[in-house]
Amino acid sequence: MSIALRLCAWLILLAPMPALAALPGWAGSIEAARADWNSTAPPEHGWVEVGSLPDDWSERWPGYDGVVWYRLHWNQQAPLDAIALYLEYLTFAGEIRVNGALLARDDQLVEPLSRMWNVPRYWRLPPPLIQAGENEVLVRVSGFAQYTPGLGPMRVGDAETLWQTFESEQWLRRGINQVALAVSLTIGFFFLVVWLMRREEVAYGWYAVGRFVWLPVAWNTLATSPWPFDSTEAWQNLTALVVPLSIGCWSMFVLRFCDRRWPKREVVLWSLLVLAAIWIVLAPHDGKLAARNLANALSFVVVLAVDVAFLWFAFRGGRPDQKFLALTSASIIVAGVHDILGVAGVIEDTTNWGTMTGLIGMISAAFVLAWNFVDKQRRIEGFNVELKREVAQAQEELAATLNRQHELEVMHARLGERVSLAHDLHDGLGGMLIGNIAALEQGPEQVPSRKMLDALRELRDDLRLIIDTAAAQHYGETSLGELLAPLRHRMTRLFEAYDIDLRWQADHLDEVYLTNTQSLDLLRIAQEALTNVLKHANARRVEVELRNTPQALTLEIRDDGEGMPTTPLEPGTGMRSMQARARRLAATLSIASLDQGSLVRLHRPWPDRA
Amino acid sequence: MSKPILLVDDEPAMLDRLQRILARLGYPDTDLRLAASVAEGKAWACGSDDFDMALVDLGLPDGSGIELVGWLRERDAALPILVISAWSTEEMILGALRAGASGYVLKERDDLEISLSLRNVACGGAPIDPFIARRILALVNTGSAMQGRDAQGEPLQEALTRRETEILDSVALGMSNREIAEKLSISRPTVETHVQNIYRKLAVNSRTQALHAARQHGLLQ
Repeated sequence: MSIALRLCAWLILLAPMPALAALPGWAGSIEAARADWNSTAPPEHGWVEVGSLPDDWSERWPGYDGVVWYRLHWNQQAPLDAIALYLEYLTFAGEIRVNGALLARDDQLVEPLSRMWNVPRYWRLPPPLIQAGENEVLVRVSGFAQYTPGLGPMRVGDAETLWQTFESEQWLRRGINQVALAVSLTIGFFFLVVWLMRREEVAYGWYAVGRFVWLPVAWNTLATSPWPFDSTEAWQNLTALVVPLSIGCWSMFVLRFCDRRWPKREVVLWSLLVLAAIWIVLAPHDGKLAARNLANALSFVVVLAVDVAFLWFAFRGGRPDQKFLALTSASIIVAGVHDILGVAGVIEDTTNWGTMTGLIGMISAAFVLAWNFVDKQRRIEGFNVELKREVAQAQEELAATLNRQHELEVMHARLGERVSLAHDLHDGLGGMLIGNIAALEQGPEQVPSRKMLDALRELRDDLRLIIDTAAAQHYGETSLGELLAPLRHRMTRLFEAYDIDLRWQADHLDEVYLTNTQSLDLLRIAQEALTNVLKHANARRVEVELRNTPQALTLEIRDDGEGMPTTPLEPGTGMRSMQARARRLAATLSIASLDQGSLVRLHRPWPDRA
Repeated sequence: MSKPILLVDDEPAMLDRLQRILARLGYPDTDLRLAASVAEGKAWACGSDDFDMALVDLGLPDGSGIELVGWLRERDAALPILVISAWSTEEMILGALRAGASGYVLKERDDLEISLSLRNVACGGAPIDPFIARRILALVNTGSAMQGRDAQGEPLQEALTRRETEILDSVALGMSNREIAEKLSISRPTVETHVQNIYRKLAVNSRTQALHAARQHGLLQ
């Protein structure tokens, strides 16, 4: 945007420099006459009247490059003790004499010329130098027709008033440009470094490049020596070709700043601008002015278009910083147009708005870019916080999921327990119930009530086994030793009541684990066998041995009763179910009569635990 | 003529069955005081003579039998109190023992088994089974730290002796008092005395504490 300003300043520079407001014209005669490059004294002939200052001799003598002497007269009234001479500028170099006395002479009066086009001057005129009445100022100016050669506004008058004018002009022409140059350099370096460290911030890069490309133009307003060039034309070429290049950089910055990429249009734009720059450099001496004017016009049109586009981007859903910067750059265009119109005489106000808005624009651009940068930093920091929060949230969700999973597992386990309980009920009670119901259905009167009672007791005993097992499992007591204890306790008491000596060898079973169903089957077999002994054997002593070895689990129930009946009767349901359970246990069940009593033996080899 | 027996159960069938069993043990119907609720039980206790024994069901319509057990125990430290309970109330059985019950018997058991327990309690015995032995051992092992469902509230009044722990271990294995007596080379009455001592140490010593203990475990509303 300050590029826009500079462009305006440039255009203004090419046109006659606008006079400061309220500076009265020269009160006296003004004449001009041409002389050769090496002339040291005003020519005798060829003087022409000059209407007013500033004067651009190219209008009077088109295409004239060389030296022009200006001769100004004024009538000075006493008192003479506070008189000063003020010259706003001359283009490019020259010398000033008052009443024949030399006041100043620039270093280079022939090529390469000193560059004094932007240097206001002020001299106190002491009484011996001037006199009451007629006085004369002679100004020798070296210049080129193409670069608005001539003399700027000049005035003689009260020293104090003119000093104030000089100071304010000094600030406008030099001070403000020094500040602008310093700011431009600083900001340029800052964003260059930012871009070097973060290459993805392309907008910053273009902004920095734009600032550096513009440097020659900024320096041009301050330089008074032709260095480093050996001709005025070289200087002018440089400052001219920088304009389209800067405009290119500015356009790229606007596009990138608004997150736009227009590859084809960008190529076209750059082609035009580079062509313009090349043309400026390569144009013949006579065509330079035309080339520059065209390049400037092109640049101005591009800047206008880009800034309109900028406004469009910014106010069609752009960010606040984009809006701000778009408005600022638009205001600089307005200031530039104002200044041009003022110079062209279309509007009366000739105040130069561009210089100030340019500086403000540059600072606000830097402000916006820096703000943008800081905002990104902040978002990154915010992102970290957000990330932490999201991680915490994810952890919570994970924990919740795991909890749900655990609950599901517990539920599955419970369902599993229920199913296995149902199995247990079906295997035991179910079979007995069905058997007894069948017996009753065949002929209720044939079933003695004694037998019915036994059947019911059997059912109750099985239920008790299931209940005891379930209760023990509820407390996590699942080893065979723990599951056996209730049965052992119950049976021992029962046998004691009948005065039968029941002896158990069932130690070291705390580390033996069977599945739920297997444990129940084993306990049912033991219960059935003991009940049979109690009912039929008429024994005095019963020994139960449950022994576990690495090879097998063995249950032996030995009684000293009457032994098995010698005539094998049809095996009862109790015996059949004992055999069925033994098969399910993958065990062998044998029942044998001994010399005295009988032996029930259940042998269950352990599966190979390879 | 012996002292009467208090029978508290809200199931008439169970009352009939208990009457029959008691009759077989030599207690005539005239010696029985039947109650169907905590209130009736207390009324009998307040109204008349000392009892020889009390049989208390835990699930009563107007409150928990545990409360009645505690109440009775507070009135008479020597009264044998047998808790009659249905299955699935084993947690309550331990609560009843802590409230001062002398023993318990499950309703599903044979008449024979119930009469064995009755005779045992009437003679001042203390029936115990592997399940309760394990619960008491768990209570001892967890100490004062109340945790899990094994913790039945307050720790024991006194620590168990080594012999008492031995006896509980043996009961937990399913051994009968006779077997324990033989194994430890002591007499059966000594075993009974040890079990009684265990129950005494288990019992919280006031009715308030008993109620508190009961409430803490959701045994009382």
